[in-house]
Amino acid sequence: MMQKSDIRFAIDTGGTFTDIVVFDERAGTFSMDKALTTPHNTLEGVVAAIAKARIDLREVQRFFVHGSTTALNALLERKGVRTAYLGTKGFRDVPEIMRFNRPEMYNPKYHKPPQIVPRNLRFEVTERINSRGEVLLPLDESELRGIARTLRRENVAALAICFLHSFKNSIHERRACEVIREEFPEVSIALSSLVAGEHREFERGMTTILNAYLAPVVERWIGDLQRELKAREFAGEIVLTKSDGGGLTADSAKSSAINMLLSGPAGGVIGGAYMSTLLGQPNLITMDVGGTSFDIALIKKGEAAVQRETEVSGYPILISNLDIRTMGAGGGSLARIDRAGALQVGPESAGAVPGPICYGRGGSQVTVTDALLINGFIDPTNFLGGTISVDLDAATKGITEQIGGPLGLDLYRASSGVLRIVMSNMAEAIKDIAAESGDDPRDFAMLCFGGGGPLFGPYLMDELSLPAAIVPILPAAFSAWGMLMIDLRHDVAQTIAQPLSRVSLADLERQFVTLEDQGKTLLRREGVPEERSQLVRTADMRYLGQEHSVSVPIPVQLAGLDSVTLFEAFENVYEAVYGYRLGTPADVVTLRVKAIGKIPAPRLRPIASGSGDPTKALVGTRVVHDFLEVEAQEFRVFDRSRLLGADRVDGPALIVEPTTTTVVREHHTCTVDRVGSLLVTRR
Amino acid sequence: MSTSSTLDPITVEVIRSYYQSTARQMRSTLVRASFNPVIYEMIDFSVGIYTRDADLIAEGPGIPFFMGTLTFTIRSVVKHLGIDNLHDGDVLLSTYPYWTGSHPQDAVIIRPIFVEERIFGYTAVKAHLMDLGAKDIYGTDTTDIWQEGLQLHAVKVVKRGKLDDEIVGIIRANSRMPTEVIGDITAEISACGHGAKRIQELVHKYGADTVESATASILDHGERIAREAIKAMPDGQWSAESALDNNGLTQDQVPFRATVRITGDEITVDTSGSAPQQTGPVNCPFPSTVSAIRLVLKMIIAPNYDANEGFFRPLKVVSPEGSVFNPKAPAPIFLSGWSAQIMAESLFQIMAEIAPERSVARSGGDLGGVMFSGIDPIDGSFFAGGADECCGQGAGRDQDGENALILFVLGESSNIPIEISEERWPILTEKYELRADSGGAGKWRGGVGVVKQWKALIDLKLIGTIEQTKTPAWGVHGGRSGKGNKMTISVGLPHERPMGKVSGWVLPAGERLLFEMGGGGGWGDPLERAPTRVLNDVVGGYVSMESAEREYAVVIRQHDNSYSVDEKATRGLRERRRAAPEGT
Repeated sequence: MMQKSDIRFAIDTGGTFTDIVVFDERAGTFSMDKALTTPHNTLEGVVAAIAKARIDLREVQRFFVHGSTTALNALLERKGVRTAYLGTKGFRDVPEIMRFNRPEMYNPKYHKPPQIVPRNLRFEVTERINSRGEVLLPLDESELRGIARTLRRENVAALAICFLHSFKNSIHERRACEVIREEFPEVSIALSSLVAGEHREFERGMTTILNAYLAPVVERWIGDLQRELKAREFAGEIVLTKSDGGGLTADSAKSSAINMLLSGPAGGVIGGAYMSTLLGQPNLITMDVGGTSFDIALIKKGEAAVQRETEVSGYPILISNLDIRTMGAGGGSLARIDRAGALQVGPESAGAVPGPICYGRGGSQVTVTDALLINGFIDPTNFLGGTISVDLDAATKGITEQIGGPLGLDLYRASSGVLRIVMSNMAEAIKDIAAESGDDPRDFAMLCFGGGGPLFGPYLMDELSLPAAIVPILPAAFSAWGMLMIDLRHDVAQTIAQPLSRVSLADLERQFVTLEDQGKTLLRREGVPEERSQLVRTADMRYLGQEHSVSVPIPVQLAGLDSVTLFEAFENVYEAVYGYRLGTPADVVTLRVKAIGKIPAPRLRPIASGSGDPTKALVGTRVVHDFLEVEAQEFRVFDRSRLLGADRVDGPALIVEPTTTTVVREHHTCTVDRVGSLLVTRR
Repeated sequence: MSTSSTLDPITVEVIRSYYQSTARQMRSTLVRASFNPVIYEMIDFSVGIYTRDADLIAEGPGIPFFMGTLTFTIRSVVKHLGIDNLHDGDVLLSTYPYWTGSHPQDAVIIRPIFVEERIFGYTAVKAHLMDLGAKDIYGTDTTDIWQEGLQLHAVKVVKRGKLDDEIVGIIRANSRMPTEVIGDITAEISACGHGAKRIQELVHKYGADTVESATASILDHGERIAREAIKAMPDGQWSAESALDNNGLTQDQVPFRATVRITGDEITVDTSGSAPQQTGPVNCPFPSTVSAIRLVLKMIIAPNYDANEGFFRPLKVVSPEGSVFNPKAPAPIFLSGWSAQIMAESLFQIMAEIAPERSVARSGGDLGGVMFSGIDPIDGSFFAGGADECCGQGAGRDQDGENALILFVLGESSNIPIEISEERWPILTEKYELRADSGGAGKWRGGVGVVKQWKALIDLKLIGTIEQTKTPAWGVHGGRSGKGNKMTISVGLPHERPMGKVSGWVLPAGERLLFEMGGGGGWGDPLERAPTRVLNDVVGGYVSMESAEREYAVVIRQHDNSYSVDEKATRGLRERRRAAPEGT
């Protein structure tokens, strides 16, 4: 058997670039490369990135990748398969009624997102189960066979089945699946009780529809990926990232498209959680400034917040996902003066094409990147390591004509204005997310990555009075880097929705054991050995009659405990989240088991230690307009690759690397830690 | 004009962003801390930041219908208490409908923001509390404001930072759910406190002069946007009529009239000609009349901008005193929202004439509200529940109306999932589907409403607020009306009957309630609707084959399970219809 234990690598397909990060276990080193993203078929970009990194695939133990872009593009471009829906009689319109709210409150012409399943492909069958899981009306199988024949005639490729209360009792969904298969074996079927076994028929049904719609597309993509790699003699394991920060092996991922939909930015947050432990900073704000978006997440006590529901293009998705907020603010964000004379930056973006004015690829509207160039943060002679040549004159002309002229500001004030506005939008977004969870941003350090993170991070640190802005190694490919830290993970759940006073703990114990057995089976199927398996129990609980529940850790053995213990555990969590306790009765809503298959994470090797004096890394000076200062200043420029551990750079300075620049403002100091991270603090 | 022109525009934008984010954070604080689903699920609240003169600076997303009402409340409350009697750390409370604009349950909390011993501005929150006394938790047949809940004109619930136990005691003693209500008032106080603190930090950072001139500039910007949009509309005068089914006590319709006058960049909305104030609870205090009209104006002229007082400077609202839209205390007002909504929606009819690209035909016009209560058969406890419904929306000049959407005044308010309603309450829903043929025909079709039927599993006591059963959604420019709303009780039994607004009706176990919610009005001549669109509607079952022929003169043929347009027959039929329109 071939020796294949030394290399692992991860690929992050972004909007513009496909990043690859390779970890060589023997040498303890990381390296990165970039290829252009190929939106029509992201696999090409993946293959190109592997080629660019010159990896011998025979040496590779594990390859981490996310299918997010493929799934998301299929959804946005409506390139899923022809999908039908089957509901309880009287309820086939639930996917179209939705929750009947108006997300665009002030738009009299608001329209819901388009239907994935047209009404003529939404069917209903006689059956009914009540809220206790009891069968009120049996499933009418002859009606069902008729529907199956219609599905065949209509050339349907996938079917989503969602019956009322099926999360409590899935007998009708399972039987309906069998009957349809007998009549129409080719159709791919998704059952709501399996995809998202939680209450709320619209959200569960919609999640099931999206899974049915996208699964064949994702399955094909994974199959193609496996073939491409096999042709290059890859014999290791492929791990796909899920939206909740866990991983899945390729074969289990095929039927789980919905869990991959939002996994794109997950890598950065997983990396953030890892760095949080390494840096001894239990509270971290991760921020990723890319070309079009600004992604933020909070890490508390070393763990990233996970939410159980999210939304994509107006469709709710009932799956666990990392709580990552995205706003339209990045290098490509457009600056414009509105019709009443106010300067706005974003959320629209020039994207990669036509791009900023200074790229000279047809972009004619001022972007944040143009302003960064004017202010001196970008070296026009060495942008992205010299791979893109930039046109300073065109950017100057654009800002003068579009911003400076109309507002009566000179070039640098106009340019600084664009940067001030985008930065304050970012700051307000961070305040918002902190306010929602009742946190004070000042209790968090900030981990800055993405091409623009190290530029804006130190400003945000000042604006929000944070203790530090930290730039990890490989900041521009940090999302790919973070994916190397992923563990395999399966989440199984059972909604019971009952008052705590009416459930017996022995019964809960039985249900948890059933869930744990399901989790173990899933891990075994992925070849995870017992010693790397880990099972974690939680229960969603809430006060009677409330909608919002909190996640309560549950002991591994419930027998012998009484419900008072459970109630106390619930109130402790509730108080931690909401700041008060009611003392009124509680509901147990959903039981959950997280089945984790640990993958040993790569170790960061310390870099060589220096004297503290960074002079050896000094490569020159540059005139920079710090956009919060009136006058331009001379900034010293340092080459990050030549800085050593414990080196200390006092501002004003720029620390450059091929794909990004860290700003050290006049009153800041940057120190290099033992693994090469840059810590920017106020002097 | 103002000093704002001297301030650099970048700082103005940064301060604007700070205000908006502060208003959003006030909202998060309220939602996080609130005890009741009407706040955290139905978003039945409003939060805002106001200047010293009580002009709106920024608002957090809440219920659109409350937009800007707090200006009136702040002015009345501060005047009543006397501005010199306000101190740093005071928090004011009012439940008085004639100042807050709505029923006493919509309690308003106001926090003066002090900067260097001077009032800089106010933060304020209005949120629906579960119960503040009154003859019932909701009311369709009250005859004065005292039957509608506890009346507190203006009190200091917090005095110099200390919660006033006497006021709290009064509120506790006047609520069926004291713990939740005090909890929610505390949440309102926290939200205002958070906002005030953030504004103090803002002033500290930039200085009062800079912040004040930026604020003036932000309001001026809003004003410019509004004036420009109004200027683009033709000068003139237009009127629209609408009516409530009844006033909750009697069976007669209550007529409304709204007149819009535009001169240059100014707009006046005058409700003269509407009914005099009523004996039943459909009177609408003037603050809510203004708020509903502001909402429509904003939806038409600036749907994508955050609202501030500047937008509303070019707007004047006239409502004669003693009329339904400017009643005199103590006339009952519990259902004021219904009157305001129906009159405000009629303004879209005028806007369809003067700003057709931005307007829409009328919606089904109601939310099919029902509340029910009973005794839990398992533990004997009292419970109360309820649900709202959606309706079809009006078509626009270039689009069909949306199907099954909540009224525009309620924004982000969502339905309660069937599964959750059955977990919570002893009811069984049997049908929840789109109502075919309910949308008004037109070149662009009105959206369809929904049909919902449920069965009581134990005896329930009902309060129903159904409206617009007599006046279906109007169409625009030749578009037809949608179907109206209907509530039917004891469905399928010999004593089955349609029902209007009702309080205290008993629905025995095993009996059914059926809602058929109205469709939106159509836009343009149905004979101009593309036959392929009619075909799609028939295939989807939004329109029946019979309606396709009757309303649109499109002949659809069905072969097995496929449908097609009979083009020749359609051409002929459409020509005959054009030559001899129905009814001539």
